[in-house]
Amino acid sequence: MTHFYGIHGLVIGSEIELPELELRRHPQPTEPDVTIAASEMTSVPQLGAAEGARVETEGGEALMTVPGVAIYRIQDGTQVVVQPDSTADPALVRLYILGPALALICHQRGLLPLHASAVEIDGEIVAFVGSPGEGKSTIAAHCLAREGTRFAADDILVVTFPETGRPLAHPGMPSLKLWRDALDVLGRRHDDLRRDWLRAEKFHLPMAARLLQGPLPLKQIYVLDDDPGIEDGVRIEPIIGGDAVATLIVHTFRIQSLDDRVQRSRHFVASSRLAGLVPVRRLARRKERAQAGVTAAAVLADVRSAT
Amino acid sequence: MTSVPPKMIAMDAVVVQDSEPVTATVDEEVVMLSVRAGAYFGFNGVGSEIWQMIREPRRVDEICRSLSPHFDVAPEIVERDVLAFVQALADRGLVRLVDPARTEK
Repeated sequence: MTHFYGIHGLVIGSEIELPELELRRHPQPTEPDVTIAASEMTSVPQLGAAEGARVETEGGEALMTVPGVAIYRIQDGTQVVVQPDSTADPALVRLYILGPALALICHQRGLLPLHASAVEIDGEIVAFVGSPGEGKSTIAAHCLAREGTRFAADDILVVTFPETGRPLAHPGMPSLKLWRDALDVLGRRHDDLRRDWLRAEKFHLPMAARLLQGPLPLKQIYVLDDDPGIEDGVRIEPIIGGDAVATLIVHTFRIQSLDDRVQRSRHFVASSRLAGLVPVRRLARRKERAQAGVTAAAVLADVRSAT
Repeated sequence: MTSVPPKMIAMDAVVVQDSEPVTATVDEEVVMLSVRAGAYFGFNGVGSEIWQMIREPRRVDEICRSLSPHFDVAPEIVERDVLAFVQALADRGLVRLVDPARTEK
């Protein structure tokens, strides 16, 4: 049986059921853009101490090996073949499908997958990029605690360039990865939520009621920056030109796996195009979790004052 | 992988943009990716201006002459800075040296 999901502007047809995408189930069986197939179990031995995913790319194909989890073959932007380790937890096998494997699919298709969390504010998308742990999901959650917002994506945000009009941001993962105290803001308890395997203190929060369903114009990209020099409050300032391009390049999901000339050039063209079309702004504050609400309020005010 | 050893650029050298880097202009800054050099580059202000000038082959002293009137400094300073910039471009394989004999006809 094939399960159909719509995410990142793509229809995914998967032999493996993906409960994490339950809220992104595609209504009708259709010709998928991307297929996910499972092949027979194997053994993917752990080599040395705690090694992460290893990706080799060649001629439009990527081979991702995750010791103790699975081997993923990602081909032509249309197919992922998963060969799970016989001892692996299925949730962990899926985690790498939903993150890096789909990101590699996007790169192969020439799409731009930003490493971002995103929310809709008044009919447009606002994206947050930043180093891991900088608080992208947390800020997104705090924005969602306010009126006029919906949840767009977490971790991967795909941006496309229609022939006319502004760049579009597409709905991504339907749950937010959050720290415990950010959950409290939304009034959610964390014992009935799906655990995020990589970071024990984070939880997947399904966002059914306030979930963005289709693409919307991307209005603004904020770069989260922890600045200990800021006593309190939030400083927001534009990033322009080469700095804006560099920011988008650095915050592309799995940028390190682009080692083919065509992919790299295409990614560069997309990044510079995006930097020319959508404002990139530095969101600097002293990162203390207690201030995330203040930061979100500053973002909303900034977004709503820009026209 | 072909790599040409860096050459010293002289004032009478004729240089032109290499076609290898992918370039874009964002907020009047030139940004580029050279897959061959394995790096991204960006320059603004006078750097972008020089880059635009060498879309077609140009002599270095000619670049200096057209820039000089815009700066309130001695021509030698302009020459020194332009030469250093063009040399930096050449060292990174972003410009090519053209045989002057072939452009003067």
